[in-house]
Amino acid sequence: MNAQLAWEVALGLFLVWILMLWRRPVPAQGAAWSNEGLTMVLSQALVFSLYGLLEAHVGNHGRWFLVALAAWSLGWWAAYFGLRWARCRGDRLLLPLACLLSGLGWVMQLRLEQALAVNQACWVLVGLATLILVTAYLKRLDQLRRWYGPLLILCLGLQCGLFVFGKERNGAALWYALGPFSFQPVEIVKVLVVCLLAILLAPAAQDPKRLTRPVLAVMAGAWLLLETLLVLQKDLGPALLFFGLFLAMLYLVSGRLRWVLGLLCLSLFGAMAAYNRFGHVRVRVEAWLDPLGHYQDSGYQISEALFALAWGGWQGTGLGLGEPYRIPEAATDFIYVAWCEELGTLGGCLLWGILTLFLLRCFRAAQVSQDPFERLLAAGLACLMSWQSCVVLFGILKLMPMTGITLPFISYGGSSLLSNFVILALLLRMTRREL
Amino acid sequence: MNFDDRLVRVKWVFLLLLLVVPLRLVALQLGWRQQLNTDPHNSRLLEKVAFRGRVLDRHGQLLAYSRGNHRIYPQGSLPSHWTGFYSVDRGVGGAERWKNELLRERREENGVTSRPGHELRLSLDLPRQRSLERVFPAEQGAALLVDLDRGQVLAAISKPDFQPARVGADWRTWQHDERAPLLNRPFLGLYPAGPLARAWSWKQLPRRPVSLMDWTSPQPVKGQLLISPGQVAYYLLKSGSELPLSQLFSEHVQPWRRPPELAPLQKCAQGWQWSCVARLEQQVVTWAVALKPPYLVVLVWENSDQEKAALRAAWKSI
Repeated sequence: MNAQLAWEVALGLFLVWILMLWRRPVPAQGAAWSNEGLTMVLSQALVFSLYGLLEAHVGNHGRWFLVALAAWSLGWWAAYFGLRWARCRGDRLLLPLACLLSGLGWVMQLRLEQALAVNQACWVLVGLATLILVTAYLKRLDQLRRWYGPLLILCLGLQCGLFVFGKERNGAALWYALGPFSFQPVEIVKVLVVCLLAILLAPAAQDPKRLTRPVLAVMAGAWLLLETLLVLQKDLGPALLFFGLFLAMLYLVSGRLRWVLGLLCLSLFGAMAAYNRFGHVRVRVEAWLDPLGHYQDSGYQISEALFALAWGGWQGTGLGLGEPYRIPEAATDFIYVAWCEELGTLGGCLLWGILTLFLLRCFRAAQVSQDPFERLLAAGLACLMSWQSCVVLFGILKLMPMTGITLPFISYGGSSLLSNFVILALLLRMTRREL
Repeated sequence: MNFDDRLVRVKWVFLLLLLVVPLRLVALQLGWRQQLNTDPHNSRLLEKVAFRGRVLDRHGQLLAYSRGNHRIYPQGSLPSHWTGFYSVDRGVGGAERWKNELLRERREENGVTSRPGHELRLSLDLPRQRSLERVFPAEQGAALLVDLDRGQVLAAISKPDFQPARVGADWRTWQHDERAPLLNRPFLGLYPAGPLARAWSWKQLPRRPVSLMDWTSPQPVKGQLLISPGQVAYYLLKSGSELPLSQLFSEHVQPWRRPPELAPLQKCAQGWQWSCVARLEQQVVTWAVALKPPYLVVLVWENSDQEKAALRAAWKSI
């Protein structure tokens, strides 16, 4: 227990270290031991010591998991040097922060279900390879603008293909299955949508006069199409995600608060209509308002999450010593709750701090970028990740109805992780000159 | 207002939204924790097996203990009807049930921190239990060894017995087994007393079986007196007032005082051995009772009247 407190103090010191580096200028080119490398070392040391803590508390994880952890670590170092090989000296805090988030998530998955941790380690390696490939291939993000058509077709094809090839799980066909692998296309679609929106709106962001009616009509049409598709597929989480994303992008480009507020009011009517029309929406709202009263059916997930949070208390039960296996979907949607049970409110706030710093750093990437398209793209990606984190965290903390989305880099899930790495690659590419 | 300002605004909106998360966590700990930690739906309030107390025999030999999430019975089936069983799915039986409040994990005031349960020491004498099992080779039946001086049961055998550790796996088999391995025959098995009752001519014996536990017996069949070995021992010890089974079983309770009625009975039955065969419809039961102060032995064979040789061999070793 004391070891865990010491580890949490170390995590807090790491947060302070990040804040110290926040505005510090980059060391001269060719500096042997840059701050980025040191931060990488520190974040990996935190992950290894957390694994050590788990071993000390439970200690029945075989040697193979140490091998998996070593592979995970080597993968991140390969990415670190691969970025230099790809001549991409991006933001120096994004990579270490993402590394820490993925490492902490991985240890938690190992604690929850060992088979998942092996899968997740493989997915991280695949994601890191994707990161290198994207950064090496996309020397200039302007290249993306030429692919408007193909990206649009890919986006629509992936989402509409679900009606034909989708594999059903938990009552909704949201996956493509390829042998043992399954893939959730909406995770990639959301990145593509941000790219497409950025391409569409970049001229308007530069000059408000270019926000013409055709542009707005295309945006509104895409929005309606996406929401309709997702509602038909009963995928409420991404529907909510795209709603927030489009609102944020609209505000960023137009700057008209009235439009945003008007759309919010409209969406309230839409939400009420959905509540009346769809049984599965009603079920979720009921579960949100009174989870303990609906413990036997719809409120079960949220009730178990609340029990876990209360059980953990301030300091937590100790990593590996709690009972997070009682929470359904503990490794994906509810991983933050599992973390809070075992590392306490203290640990939960620290993890929240790292996640928030990572998200703020994404916004910073948008702020320091010069090219209008890149800025809009970075801002869109930052909004996407932040809104996604908000939706899932609010859902599991009973602040709004639960919708199944993953927490960036922390939750288990291959396609979600892959899309996070693509986002990271784009952000690293566009911060190359600045930091 | 240009793009940069709007970007800063959006960033602040998201930061403020995210700030709700730690505030919510703190508020939940401050305001809601107690209620959630005592909610009847909270499955974390279920007992943790790892903290369940140990069960020992009178010499301190381990009969049951917990390792991780498992309950271990190192003596196997030998004291199975003493320890009973513990299973999350099938509940508890035997001493695990009867002293559950003593054995189960305790909670600190906060309701979250677990403390180990108490230790239970039974009056069982494991070496005597083993030797009694050796001299009692019945496939079905009950045997009981009571120390009359101390008023304690030293050994009790119920055949067929079971492996307490396999309660989860074998429960259905046991339930459908006609030989009823889960029945605690020395105390809950009812056998036709037959000439046993006449031989003693216990006028005070009631015309119905008396329960030793909080247990109601089925009605006796066709006027035959049904009696358990435990009841035979009980009548020999003291008739009339109800003797709680815990007093026969355990050392924890108040010291035993020899009942005044016992002395004359014991005198007249000095060194006395008796056996009989009782019949109830198809069921044939062989009784054997031996009183060698301070020990009383009661044996019952089910469905066999051809075990006289075994019976005689048993006498010699007792």
